Amino acid sequence: MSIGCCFMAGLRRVLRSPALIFWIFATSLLLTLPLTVAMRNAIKQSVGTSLVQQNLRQGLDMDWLGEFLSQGDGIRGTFGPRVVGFLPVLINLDKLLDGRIFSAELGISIAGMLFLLVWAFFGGGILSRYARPEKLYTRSTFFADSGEYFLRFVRLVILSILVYLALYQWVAAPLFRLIDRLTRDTPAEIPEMVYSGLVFLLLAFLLMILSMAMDYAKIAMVVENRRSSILAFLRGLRFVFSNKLKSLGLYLLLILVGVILFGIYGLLAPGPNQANDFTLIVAFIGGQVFLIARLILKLWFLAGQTMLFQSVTGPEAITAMGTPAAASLFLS
Amino acid sequence: MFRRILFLAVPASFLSLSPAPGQDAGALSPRNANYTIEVRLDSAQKTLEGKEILTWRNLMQMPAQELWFHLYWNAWKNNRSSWMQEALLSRRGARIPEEGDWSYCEVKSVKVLPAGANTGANLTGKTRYASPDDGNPNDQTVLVATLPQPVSPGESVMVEVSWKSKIPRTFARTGFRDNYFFIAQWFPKVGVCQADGTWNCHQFHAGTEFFSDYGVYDVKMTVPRGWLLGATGEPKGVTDNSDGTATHEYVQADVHDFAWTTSPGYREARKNFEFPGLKPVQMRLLYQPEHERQVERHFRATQATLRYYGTWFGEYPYGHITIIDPAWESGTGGMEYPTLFTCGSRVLNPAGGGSPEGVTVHEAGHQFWYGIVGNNEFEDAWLDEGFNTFSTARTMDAAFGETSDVFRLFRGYIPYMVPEIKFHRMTGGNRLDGYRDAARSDIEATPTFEYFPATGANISYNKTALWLSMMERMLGWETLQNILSTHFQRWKFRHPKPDDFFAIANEVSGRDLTYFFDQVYRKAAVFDYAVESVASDELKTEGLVDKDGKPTYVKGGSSTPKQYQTRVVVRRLEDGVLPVDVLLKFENGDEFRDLWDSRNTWKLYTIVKPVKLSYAIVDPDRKILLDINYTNNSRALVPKADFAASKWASKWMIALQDYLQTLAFLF
Repeated sequence: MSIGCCFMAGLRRVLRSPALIFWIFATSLLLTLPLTVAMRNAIKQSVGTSLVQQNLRQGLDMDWLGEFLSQGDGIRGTFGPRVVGFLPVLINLDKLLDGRIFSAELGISIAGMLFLLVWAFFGGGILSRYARPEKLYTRSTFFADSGEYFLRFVRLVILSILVYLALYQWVAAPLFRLIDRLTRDTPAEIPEMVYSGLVFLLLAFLLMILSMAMDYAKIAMVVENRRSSILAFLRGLRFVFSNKLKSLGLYLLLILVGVILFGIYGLLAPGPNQANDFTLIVAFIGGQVFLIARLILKLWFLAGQTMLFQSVTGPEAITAMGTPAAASLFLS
Repeated sequence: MFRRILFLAVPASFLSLSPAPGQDAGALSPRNANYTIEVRLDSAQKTLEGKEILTWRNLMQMPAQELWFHLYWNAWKNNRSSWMQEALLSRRGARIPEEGDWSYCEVKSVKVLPAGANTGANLTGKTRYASPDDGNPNDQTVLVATLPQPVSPGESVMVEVSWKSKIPRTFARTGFRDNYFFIAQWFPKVGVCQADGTWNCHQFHAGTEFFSDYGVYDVKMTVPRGWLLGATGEPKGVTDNSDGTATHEYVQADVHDFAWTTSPGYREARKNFEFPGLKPVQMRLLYQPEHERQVERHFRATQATLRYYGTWFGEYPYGHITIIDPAWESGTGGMEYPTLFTCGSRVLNPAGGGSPEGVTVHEAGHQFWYGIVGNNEFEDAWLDEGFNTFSTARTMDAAFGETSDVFRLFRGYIPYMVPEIKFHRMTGGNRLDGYRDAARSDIEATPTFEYFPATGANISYNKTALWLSMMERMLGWETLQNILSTHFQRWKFRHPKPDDFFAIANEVSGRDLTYFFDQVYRKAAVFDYAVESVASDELKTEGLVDKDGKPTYVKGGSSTPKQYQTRVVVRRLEDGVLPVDVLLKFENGDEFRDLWDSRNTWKLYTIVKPVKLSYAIVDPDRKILLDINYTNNSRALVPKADFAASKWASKWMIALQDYLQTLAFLF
């Protein structure tokens, strides 16, 4: 199956399961609600019945913000201009590239861990759905499949965290220290920028390889019924390197979609100036549409990669899933 | 009170009225510490070898038996110095130096040169180190030379000092980075002799800057040929030497310090400043090639400074100024020296984000506050840093408008500006956030070198700028400008003390501002006013009232028309006490205003009107900018925070959702 076929068919497969999109999105929304309520309460308590609320209606009052941040720790410290418009997306991307994605305030770290557990839980059901599109899926089969693979995926998540931490600790950090060392006497910023840019590109590439390997590891766990997370990870790596052009090509094509998506949101992301209910709702919906699109993109990655994996590994793999009749349907 | 103020003012201004003996005609300053210096830079070894002839005149009424010198670079000789010990307590000096990073200033010889009673005295080996501030025996930043005979009042002594220094890898904004050299506080510099004959010559502290007398500097610097050089003063010529070096001579009169810089990497640009009523100034910029596109921005910021400071306070007198765009991560940016200052920029710096304009205005502004008005930065840093922070904010606002918040991403290389989010001059420009965190850290009247190192700047810079802005709002800009310009004119080329400024403030404003300075300067008082509660209830009478001479029970009878009893409690939550306005605004637009002295910690206002209260606010004009919590200054009768809370919580939620999705992308 060509990259293009996997690309288009993957999208079709994702869009044929809107309930899946809904449940995952709803779960992520629910996970953020307690912290959001806490933040809302903190803001409301800080503002009280003060006239400052008028300033916050028009924009972000930086004087109030300084007071708010000085009034306590915890999630307060995560609030500020960093939540405006496209900035959170850039900040998270920045954190992804230099390893700070794993260091967050306690409440947010807990939400992150819970989300990963949710992701691990739904992952089995999602990949089963994408790997066996001919099967009639009900809510109970979906959750049954999710439960079937949950513990394996949890082990894989733990392994993933260790691998990524190793990347940041043993590759990223030493490289940045090396740059600092090499440029210790450099009187210009540009050389350091260039070196850092190269390191960021390298890290992005390595993250891409690892992320692909993790995706294919999950797919292998489902399609080939693997149980060992380490072996599945190695299987994923082997698949990536054995099918370099196809796996990389598909991944980069999907990354391009992501760049376009981020670019559109970057142009349209609402700023700080919603002053009435209507504009606020529009801005909120706009943000949620972007996040749903991101989710669809992630599922598209999984669907497209599942199709690529199955097309390469052939009918034996599908036989392992217990539905040999599906092989011909898949390969046609 | 006025007479007492005048009496106090007289001794401090005594010297301004009496002509300094031996002062040159046409001199702007006393010129009592004059230097002729020759120095050679060894760019490979990172050393300086120098010889200076100091001509020092005793301005005081007491004879001077000693000469005290600053040897600033010994602060980075090892980790036992007072500077290095204090740096552990502050954000400065956080890096751990490597072997080649340390520095020293070793005096090789001290000789009194022929002319007068001290003719020919060789003091080499008869000097001693002193630690007048903390008694640290390991600190070698103050050297004392005892003269065989004292220098009488009005008399001069010529002293030749030769020394060798190792240039540091930059500490405290002086040092080298590869072949970039910024040389400041580099020569044995004489301290300031005081009226009682003692020396004001502090050790070098991590949280303070410098203090010295005015004079004439004639300096010859030998550096590798072909390197651009910038220095205090005006160039008098360059001589090529046979050994591949060149000697640059710079001369400047009426300054109290001399700094210079050289590098083969500099580029040069020039522009003139002209403004009606002000002296023209030739501007020379030495910049980094990668900042070529920001040349005009540096000039515009400097021009704005010369224009606004010049028209507000007094003319810049020197006719020339050198702007230095320092090397990347050299640690030499953001600092001032007479007629020369350093800025600091990055390759990507969006317009409207305040950089490099902010630092350029600030450091150019120090030509006025520090350079021309030469306060003692060891003891009263606020007199220049606070004044300059206030003046910088005003200039930035006038020249460039409000600046926006800029985030720096991907190791700081990529800026992202949020143009809708602005910093306001009165709070952002005067750095209220930094003050709030350190409001109680020190009493401002404490000598600066005794401030807690980590928060000293929050007091010198931020707190001073804020209470100057308070004065602006209380007295009006015209009066405050008059105060500052009077201070500038009276104390230019001299060394003012805090009481000198306070006396001028009282004199020019025509008010006794002692109560104000007691609160903001002589105490670490914190200000926090609040509206504690508001209520507007329909006025109904219940109970026994006299009717036809008999007490008669009535319950809940409304009046016609309806009357509302508004009760507002305002409170002073902290110990800072200043008179403050209280404003009550009613639904029909009526206002009630009162000036509350806030001596008691609370006050109740009760007003009966046919309309309800809309809101109450303490300090509606935000005159008390030191108030650490302005949000609680107002309270509306009808809560309306839900929209604001929902709006900002929803944005935060989207950011959190994005974080979760980014995390999940890896798995």
